[in-house]
Amino acid sequence: MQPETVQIPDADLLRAVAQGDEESLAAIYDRYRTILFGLLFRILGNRAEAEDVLQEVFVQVWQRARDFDENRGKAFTWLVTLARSRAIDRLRSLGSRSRTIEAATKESADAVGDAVEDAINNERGEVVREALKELPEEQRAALLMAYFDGFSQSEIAERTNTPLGTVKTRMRTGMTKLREVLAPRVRDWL
Amino acid sequence: MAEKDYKEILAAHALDALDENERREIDALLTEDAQLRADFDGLRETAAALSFAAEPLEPSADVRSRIFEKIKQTPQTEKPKFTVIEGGKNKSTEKAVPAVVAEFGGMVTPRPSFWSRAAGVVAVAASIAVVILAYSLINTTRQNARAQGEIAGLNQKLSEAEQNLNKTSGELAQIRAERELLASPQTIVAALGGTENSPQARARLVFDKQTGKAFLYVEGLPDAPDGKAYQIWWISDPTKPAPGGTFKTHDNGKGELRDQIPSKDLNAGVFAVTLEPEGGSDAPTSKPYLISKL
Repeated sequence: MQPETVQIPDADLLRAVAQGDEESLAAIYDRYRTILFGLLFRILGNRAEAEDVLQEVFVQVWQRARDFDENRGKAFTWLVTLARSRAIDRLRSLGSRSRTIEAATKESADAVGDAVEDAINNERGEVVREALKELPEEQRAALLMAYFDGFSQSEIAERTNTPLGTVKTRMRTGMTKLREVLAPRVRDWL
Repeated sequence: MAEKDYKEILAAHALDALDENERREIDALLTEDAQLRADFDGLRETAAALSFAAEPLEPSADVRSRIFEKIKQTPQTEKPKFTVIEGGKNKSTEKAVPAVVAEFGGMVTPRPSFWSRAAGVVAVAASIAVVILAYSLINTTRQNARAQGEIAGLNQKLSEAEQNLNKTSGELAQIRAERELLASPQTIVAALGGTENSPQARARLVFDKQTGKAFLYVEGLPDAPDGKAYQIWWISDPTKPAPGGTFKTHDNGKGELRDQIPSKDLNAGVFAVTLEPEGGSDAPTSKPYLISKL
């Protein structure tokens, strides 16, 4: 990561990309490649597919940088939303969304456990995992199934054999709690 | 869909977990409701933060080169051609002008007359002005919508803060009044004991024999049934108890009453508490639950 690019705000880099500046795109790539690739790999579970989607995402950033609207949210949020959306589309096209509530729950617990045990050198990841750890297991699983597996509330209800209303409540309560915990930190991060 | 329901599904929408019908409905609302939009944007950021829960991973080194090879063949959007006419010859150059005027170059290539050239220049200037104005308007509208959302949120917080302040001010005023009462040389403290109706109950009545200000603190009283409340009585003449204020209990039979003893009853020697209809009675309708003697 180049020290001088670290200081340039993401939004300024995206504006430069919109003007055709490849170096700014490179700076964004260097800044976020590991977190975005980690997200894509987590969703797709396949390194080759994740790298393919990562390439698509950055080509899309190149093409659509003009669409970024700073008034609507942070640049990182825009990038992550783009990346996740692409990955979920790929996941659906591959027809590989086969995980169950048990798997999602286990994974969420594993992720939390890994964070604690391995003391990952990633403060943000640690903060988010700790925040997730504070949620009841059912709420955490609902959020993770939606975010990383792309399941809708109805699909989660069906797969977990849970009333739809219960899933909605879990999702709303979980997100509200998560927002309360993360909002002060997220403002500094993004 | 009621407002409550919109809030209900906003979190799910931030996770893209809504079914198609709900998604369309909430998307339409988000374009109209600035507060809802602000809430949604906040939840979107929380959802984006979930990406940090994934382990960061280093992609293969060749991904970077593949991306930059690819974008060399990928136009962002067509770079608009802006034709500058010099001495009857056209000189094309590439300039970043708004997409709306991007096709302008093709409109003026034949040898135009002075007036048509002038008209063309005016048309370009007008188009640019319109685009700038439109952009400014859209930007201002968005900023306004965002600001309105923030103002609504701040107003809500202000209202809550005012309510808390009022509550705290009220509590502080009561503490001051109690302190003044306790500091008064005229203050008398009377102990009230439970009767067969409430053997565990007890109370303290603190009152100023000169001003009539009184505080009653009770504990151990059973909860008053719906429609009923406890009432204190000032008793100078046992045949004519004078009615005082009413109160309810909370937290394991605890209760408080701030009252004013009528001047004619300042010499009352006995105080009692009975269970009465919620609005209070003129004369006791039940046996005492607490009674005291000075």
